[in-house]
Amino acid sequence: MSEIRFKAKKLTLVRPITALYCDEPDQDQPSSRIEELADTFCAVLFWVFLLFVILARCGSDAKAFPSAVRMGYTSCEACHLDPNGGNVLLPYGRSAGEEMATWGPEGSGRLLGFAPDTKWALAGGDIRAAATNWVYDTDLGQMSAQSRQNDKAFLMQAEGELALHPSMSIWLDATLGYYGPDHDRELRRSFVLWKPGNYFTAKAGRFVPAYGVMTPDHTAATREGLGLGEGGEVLAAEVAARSEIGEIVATETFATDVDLNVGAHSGYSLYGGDPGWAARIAAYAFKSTFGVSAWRRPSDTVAGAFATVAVTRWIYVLAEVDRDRDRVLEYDRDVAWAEVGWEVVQGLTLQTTAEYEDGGRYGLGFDWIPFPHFQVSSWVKKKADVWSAAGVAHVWL
Amino acid sequence: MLKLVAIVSALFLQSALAAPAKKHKIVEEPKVANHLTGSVDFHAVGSPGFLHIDGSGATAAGETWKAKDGTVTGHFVADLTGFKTGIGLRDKHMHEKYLESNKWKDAFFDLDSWTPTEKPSQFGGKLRIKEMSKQVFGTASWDGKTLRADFEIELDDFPIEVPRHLGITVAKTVTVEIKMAEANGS
Repeated sequence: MSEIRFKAKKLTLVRPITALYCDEPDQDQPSSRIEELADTFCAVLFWVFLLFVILARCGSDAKAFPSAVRMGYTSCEACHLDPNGGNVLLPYGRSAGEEMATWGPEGSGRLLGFAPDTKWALAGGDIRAAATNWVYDTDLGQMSAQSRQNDKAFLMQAEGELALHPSMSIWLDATLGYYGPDHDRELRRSFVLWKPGNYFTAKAGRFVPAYGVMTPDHTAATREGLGLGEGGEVLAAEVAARSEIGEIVATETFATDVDLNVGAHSGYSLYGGDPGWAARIAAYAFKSTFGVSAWRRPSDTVAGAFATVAVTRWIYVLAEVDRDRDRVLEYDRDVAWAEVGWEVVQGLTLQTTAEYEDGGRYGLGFDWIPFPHFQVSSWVKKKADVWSAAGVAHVWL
Repeated sequence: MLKLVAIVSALFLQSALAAPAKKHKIVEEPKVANHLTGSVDFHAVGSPGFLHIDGSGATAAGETWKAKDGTVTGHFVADLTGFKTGIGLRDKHMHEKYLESNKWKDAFFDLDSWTPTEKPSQFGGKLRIKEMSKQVFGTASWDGKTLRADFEIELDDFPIEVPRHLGITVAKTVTVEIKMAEANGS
């Protein structure tokens, strides 16, 4: 306990904020070199955290592969720096990417050999473009006006990511890029990550809290339909414990709406909504993951169950059901999403989806990773009388 | 008429002779087959990330001998070259760097005296991988048709380097599962 107390000594200047996690200094504790170092470390950590908070900005979805559960990856931590998955890859993740591609010679996952292989830094990035997007109403017998507006190729995302590893257990990660049809420049995801070992992590910054199946399809009913798709990042702090049998992730969210565009005409502003919390508990069993999650947000609470199931080495099932209770309007609604995938040949996966969000929606598509770093996916979905189709090309660095 | 009586008598006689044999089969004690064939799987965990590594595809064959007191002993051989984990590069490293299965193709197991039970019961035996033998203990069951056994091994006990690849380290404890059945023709 005394160790926690003396760390607060040099942080009293920012007492209103540090009071969140630091006790009053213990006047009886003798000063020592170790204490001074600890004080300095705590202060540096705080200012780095504050810097990341200031730089943070919304707008991201994970680019992980929960479907990799069929290959034994019940957790994202083996491949991604972020234990919840997505974005910058660890060296092992680059190697695993070779095994997910149709043609992936050894070393090709490291940017064809050009990716730096240092212990103190990781680099990454994503470029995604929507190739087509049309919506056809069979009842009206014509393409929708929205479809004609969207029926074009546009760049959805072009971002870079850098993760620094200044000490044995600390990682600093930030992204910078352009997003959406208007190419808004944003710093959208950033965090400080503490990984003291295999069983525990703590993270603070701006990210999507761990909730349900972190599928990369941000249009899924359980992502976009619950406000967890593009722009789902929040200012938050997270602690997580993981073991061979499961995981517990608890997240405190401090602000759900941060507006901080870098160089954008909207200027700079940082404001927070009511704080909330999120939690995800999952068990790893039968080469699969089964869990429940909940997220209390300023105006609503979402809770549900999810599963990522490895049926065989080549077939997987992802499923999630949630209930969203709007506490202001006192209104409940249910959303559900399920995806079944079959990797017919290495790298090429046929997928079928069934979703529920104010009515059922069904889809059929494919996902192909011909080489490491390249991914093409396309799908057709039907909801009531409306058919829609889209294709996405994705390059990750 | 005589022919009909003869046929009915023959059928009746056949039934009467067959009945005791059937009855004898019911009360017969379950026996352990002499020759068994089957498969060997293993399960390991890699960290960080607790990734599940499941190896399968290795074949096994063996013989058991039953003593008068009902206990059995046995000798089994597993062909390690058949192991696959579902990821090509991992398989390559497993066979070339860790198991060295091109050099040490087989693993051997000598079963100590064990009383077959339908529910899993303790057994012991000596496992030899590469040139190293080590006593292992586990649980096994025999339901009259299938022998199932599982046990844990410590990689440190055998001349197998702890697998490491780009930051992922495999836990030293590996679970082995064996499923065997009576070989055809035995």
